[in-house]
Amino acid sequence: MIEIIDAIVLASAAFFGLFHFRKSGILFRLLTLYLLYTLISEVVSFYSSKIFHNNSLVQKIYLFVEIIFISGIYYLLFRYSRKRRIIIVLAAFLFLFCFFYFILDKQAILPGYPLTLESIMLIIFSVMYFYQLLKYPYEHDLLSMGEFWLNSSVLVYSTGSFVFWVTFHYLYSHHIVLPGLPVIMNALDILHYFLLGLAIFFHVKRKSLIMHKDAFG
Amino acid sequence: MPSDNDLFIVIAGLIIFFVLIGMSITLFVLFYYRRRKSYLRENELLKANFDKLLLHSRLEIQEQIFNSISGEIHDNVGQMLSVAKVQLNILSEKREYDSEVVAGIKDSINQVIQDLRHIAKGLNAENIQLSSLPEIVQRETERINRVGFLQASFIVEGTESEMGKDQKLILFRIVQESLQNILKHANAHLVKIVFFYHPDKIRINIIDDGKGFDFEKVINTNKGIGLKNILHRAKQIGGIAKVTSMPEKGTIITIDAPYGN
Repeated sequence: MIEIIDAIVLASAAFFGLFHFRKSGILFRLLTLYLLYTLISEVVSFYSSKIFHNNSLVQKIYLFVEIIFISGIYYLLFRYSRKRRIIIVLAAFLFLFCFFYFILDKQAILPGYPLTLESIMLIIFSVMYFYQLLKYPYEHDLLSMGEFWLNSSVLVYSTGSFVFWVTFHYLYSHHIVLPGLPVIMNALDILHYFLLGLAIFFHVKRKSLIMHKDAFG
Repeated sequence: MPSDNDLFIVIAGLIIFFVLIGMSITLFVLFYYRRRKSYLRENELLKANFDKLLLHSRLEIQEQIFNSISGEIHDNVGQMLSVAKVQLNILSEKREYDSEVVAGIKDSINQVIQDLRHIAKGLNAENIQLSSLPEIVQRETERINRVGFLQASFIVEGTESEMGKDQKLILFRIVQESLQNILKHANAHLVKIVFFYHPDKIRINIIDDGKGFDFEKVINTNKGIGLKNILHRAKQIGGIAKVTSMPEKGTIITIDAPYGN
């Protein structure tokens, strides 16, 4: 049941972004493409596990492309070249880590360690962005800013994901299996996609307001 | 099989996690609005300071104009009228027509008319608003050359596009203050003003062949008020001023300022 809600929220956010694609800025266009890509991956992953009883290849490919998408989004989010360089370096490091991890550990079914590392990277990105907002508080209404919701979503999701994977590894190493644990990740996904949809909504709303002001003064 | 204790730990951990993350974001938002408030206050203060500086610069320019007008009236117009008066006295004492003396009076009056034209054409607040920065500086160098204490030259490289009037006024005041400093303290014979127009900034070099000075020594004493003003004004328009000088080697003042409105 929760997987269906997850898929519905993801699809709604992706199609909302797609519907307003032309109105959106380049950053939110990339976010929409990322959501669409996630939706397609989820569908492929679902059928892959149904048909082949294994979706680890899809998950692995998804992870690589996700690193590119998220790094691209944060690259556009930052204004200063120093921070952009940090993003490129961290993303390249994670990309290489995942690559060698999957080559060296071919048996790995769940990419737990790369996902943990990805969460850490995203936490760093989102904290850096919040720091930038605090340093240059130009925005008068933070809560109606798409970028704020996007970053909040990434922060909540990545910290949640980090806690999840750490807990998972701990329980796994102590041979404890909690059947409801993946549900937590699904709930986190729902919150993440909902907040990303909200980010696109606020961005489009603001863009329309600006266009209206430009047209009618 | 998981124990109740394990489940309790996981659920408690999750609740703590969501409360903490929610609190962090709420705190961030509150802190952001506090920061924004102080940022706006700082901005207002900066603007008020800038307005004060602008007003101060305007008053100083006016004072400088009054001084130069009074100087020109005293030195040129007054002198020529005195000469004309003496010539008229000679003519009235002679009681007969002397074409040479009359021609002399005519010359003196023509000179006075010319000088008055110069003064009228010279700097006033409206002229500064209407003219471009090179035009105003050109007039200032012409005025200095007329006085004759030193030889001033002015070169422009590149072309000027529209410049904000506040920026223009402050840049002119910087040039004027530099020239005043050279006239008062430098013992220079030559001064060269060079404007370099780049697409995004303007560089002004004011070079003299005067006696020079130890910049660090002067800036750290009460004497260097004019220099401090130059540095401060350049900073206020988002630029930077640099003074390169050595005793007996002349001085170069370089001002780099962002260009445009």
